[in-house]
Amino acid sequence: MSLHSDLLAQARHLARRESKRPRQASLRRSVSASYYAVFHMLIAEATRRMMSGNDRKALRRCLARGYSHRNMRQVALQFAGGSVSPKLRPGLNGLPLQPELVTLANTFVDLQQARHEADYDLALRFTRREALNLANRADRALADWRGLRKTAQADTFLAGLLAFGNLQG
Amino acid sequence: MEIAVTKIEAALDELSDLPARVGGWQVETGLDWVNEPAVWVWALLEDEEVEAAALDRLQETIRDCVHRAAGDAKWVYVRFRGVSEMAQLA
Repeated sequence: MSLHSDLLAQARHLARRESKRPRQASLRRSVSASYYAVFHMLIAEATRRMMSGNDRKALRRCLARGYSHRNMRQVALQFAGGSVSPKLRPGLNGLPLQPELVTLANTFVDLQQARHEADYDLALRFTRREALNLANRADRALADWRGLRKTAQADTFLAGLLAFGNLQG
Repeated sequence: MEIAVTKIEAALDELSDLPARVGGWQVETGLDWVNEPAVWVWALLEDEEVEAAALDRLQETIRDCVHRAAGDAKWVYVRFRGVSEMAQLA
């Protein structure tokens, strides 16, 4: 099992854990795990596309440390809104964004905010249905990715997640 | 820019033929984690199973509605809660 699959399973487990009155701690960790399932899936995909092979595993792990939540959000916002920056647009090869990629980018932005609230905003409370819906959306993002991977649009998305903030001009 | 919660709630209340039964709305405005102005909408769903596709459509409907009422510049975070769950939050 991959880390992202395990995180998603953990998110579902925690959201369903207390049958009558779920604890906020369980729901908050569930929401956080849903976000990190998508976060780690995207980073794993990106680093594998850049550096393949078993002998590059250590290098992939180094590269994975270069992703920032804020930069990833910036790129996800562009794809969610269908307006990719001219800095990245050449990578699309003139192809339109797939609706599934737009939805995935949307989900990423939403999950990231929810994760921030779950981890830091004690004034906000979550419900089981809310946490399960976020886990379902993460699940869909992982499933949709399988149909998107290796397309020019998906590769452009992955490249942007790492490098957009450092692209010149 | 100040976003009028009451204006958004009024616009949401006007929605009809929604893809899932909504028992109420909770709307908040503020700054999200990157300090951008944003709108949060919690749709309070009746206690019944709703297909994922229906929730997707509902989410899009809510986003469109909020953008019409409050402008396009803000991200709209849509969440779903069950009506019966609200007592647990009280």
